[in-house]
Amino acid sequence: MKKSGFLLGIASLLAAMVWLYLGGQAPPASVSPLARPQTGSAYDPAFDPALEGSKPHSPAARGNGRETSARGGGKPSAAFDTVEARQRHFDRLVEQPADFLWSYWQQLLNDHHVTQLEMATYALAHKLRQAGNEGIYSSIAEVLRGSSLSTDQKRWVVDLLTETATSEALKVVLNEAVNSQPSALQRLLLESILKMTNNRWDARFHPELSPVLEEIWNQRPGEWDLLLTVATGIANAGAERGGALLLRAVANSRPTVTEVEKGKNLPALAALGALRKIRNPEVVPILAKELTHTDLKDVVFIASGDALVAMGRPEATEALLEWAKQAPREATPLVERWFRRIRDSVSLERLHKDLAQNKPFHSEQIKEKLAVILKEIEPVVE
Amino acid sequence: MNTLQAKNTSLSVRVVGLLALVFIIGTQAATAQEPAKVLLLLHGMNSSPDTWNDFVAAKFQNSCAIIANGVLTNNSTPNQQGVLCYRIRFGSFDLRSGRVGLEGVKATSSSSGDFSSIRDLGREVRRAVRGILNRYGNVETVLVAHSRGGLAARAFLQQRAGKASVVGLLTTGAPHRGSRLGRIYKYLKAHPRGTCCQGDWKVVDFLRGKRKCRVGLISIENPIPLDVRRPTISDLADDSPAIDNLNPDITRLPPAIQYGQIVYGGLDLGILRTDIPVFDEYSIFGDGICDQLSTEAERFMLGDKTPSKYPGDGAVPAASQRYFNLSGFSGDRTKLHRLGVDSGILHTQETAQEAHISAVLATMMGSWWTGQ
Repeated sequence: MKKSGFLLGIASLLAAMVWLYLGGQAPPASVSPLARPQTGSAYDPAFDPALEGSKPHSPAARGNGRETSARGGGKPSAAFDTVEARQRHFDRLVEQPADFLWSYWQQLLNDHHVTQLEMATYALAHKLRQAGNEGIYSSIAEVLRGSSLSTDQKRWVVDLLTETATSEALKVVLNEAVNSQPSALQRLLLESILKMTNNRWDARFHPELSPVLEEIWNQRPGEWDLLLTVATGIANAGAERGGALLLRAVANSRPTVTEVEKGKNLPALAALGALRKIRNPEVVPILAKELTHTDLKDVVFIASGDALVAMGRPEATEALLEWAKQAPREATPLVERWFRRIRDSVSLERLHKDLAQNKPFHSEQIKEKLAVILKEIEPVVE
Repeated sequence: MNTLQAKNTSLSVRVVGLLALVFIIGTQAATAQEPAKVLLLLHGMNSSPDTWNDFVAAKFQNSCAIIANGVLTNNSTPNQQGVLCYRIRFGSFDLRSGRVGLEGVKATSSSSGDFSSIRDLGREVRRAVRGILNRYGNVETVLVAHSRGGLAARAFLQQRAGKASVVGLLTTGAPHRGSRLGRIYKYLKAHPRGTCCQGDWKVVDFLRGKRKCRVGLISIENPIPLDVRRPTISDLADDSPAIDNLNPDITRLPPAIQYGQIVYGGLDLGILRTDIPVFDEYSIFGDGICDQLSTEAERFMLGDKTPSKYPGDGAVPAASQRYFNLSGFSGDRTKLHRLGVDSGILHTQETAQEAHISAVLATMMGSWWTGQ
């Protein structure tokens, strides 16, 4: 490092001297990590030709035919034909106020400027995640309910809400899915609910989405697809209360194997399917509590174990391991069922460590089984 | 101290000062030269960036921003090993491709690249790599690609420009030689709805979530619809021109980078789901729950063989998931890293296999990935 530092330093000095001697122009600024173009408050959309062309009331908005229909169904607009131009445009968009972006977005939708629409969708979603945009959500709901847009245009509206993935956005979509007549959008709306609850924007789970879904769940919708979607949405959102609600749905009715096979008891079935979608480690204690059952065939007990292993997180594996240490030898098939599906490296390391340290197990058979499974599932890269 | 001594001292101080300055500048320059490390995740057909959620949660604490059409829609935070994660959302070329599928099905705003050619998907990768380069200046990028994303990655790396910052490629469950399942497109094209084959079209409708399957007291829909009328299905057939065009150019893969492949086996071809509520498994072949393809369709797709003769992950045979042995690929043997898994993991579950992906990345990239 020091040697290369000296050499680079000397080279820098020489280069600077040559540059000064030649009286050249300033070298291009290097791009620093995480740097955004300097826009901020100094940015005025009035001077951005791309934005100017799409302003709702500008003459250019009506005559901007630079990008043809169908997401650039011909040549893309020159303003957006490079990665750099698109990034610059996007970075400026996210500096704009939400109401401006909403108007701009609608204009793009009307004019079918799909390249810009894609960028504007991300930018507007970003802004809508901030507080104080209730009016815009109402406007979006109105647009979605109205008859002025084609189905394809409504898809864009649903996409916008999907990308936004806030409680308000979820309410709009849920309301449409529950109350509107079955339409071409119905499947899209259900998919949107799943995608929203899976969207970990801001690098986190969004348990705040759960209450909106729990409300619908408690109304017990009769339609299976909606029921399953709502249950899965609750699981995806990952709120502790939501996890408990799903477990309760199974526990209250305790469906028998025959009932499950016959498709009886829909809420319990939906909850059983959804429990395996929980990923938020904060729900682990609620699931782990159910592992204390002594009846190894208890449906809630098995559902909890299945949910924990499906989570694929060390916190969940830890709970399963604690159970395995106390489990009787009759539980060996469950050890096989659960530990064979471990799929994260931290859990594997943890299990190896425990076995290597010869930690005590109630059943030696289970301990041996665990060792065998670990050996078999350990990834061996050639 | 006389004047001469004072001058010498002054000169010495200046020289030492200059050397110190040079050292500081040099050290800073050398530090600034440390490239950013980026893992770029590529999803497959009928999928989205969310498919990587489990992997991203395990390795990046959920921080992995989306890149669409080369635009970084947010910033990611480096993980403990100093690696940044980004994921592509494919589909920027869908609406402009002009491609139309069977029964006139057209691209929508969220078609996931299913109407784009493999070449255009490669362009999307190039744009994403460029976007990352613009953001970070000095960067090393490793591509991790699932399913069709693996073909998109190769389409990018097999062309000439813009790939200098890429230092590794890992594909998982990628159909490098296509899949016989893709032949369903050609079969359906030759047997339009209403002319025959009502049962086969029932399978199509069930898969795309438009037909319910009644079992017991409930009617279920496929919870994750798959529309096999989309043109990408045709591209991914083992006998498709798209695959035929892509594979000879494998000779152009950069020789100096690290390569990895994860191959999944243990499931018969045609098993698409094992998590449909109430039931554990659904296959489009044979006898089972819901609808299955006719014997004629099965023969068209599989020839005289049975689904068990194409073991893999249900969608892609294991033999097709390998690219190291494609004719013309002459990568440095020390730079090829492979993992085979035979435990019956479904195609759609492969992106969640963090331990597998991390193990191969650790072998491929060493401290770049492990931070040790």
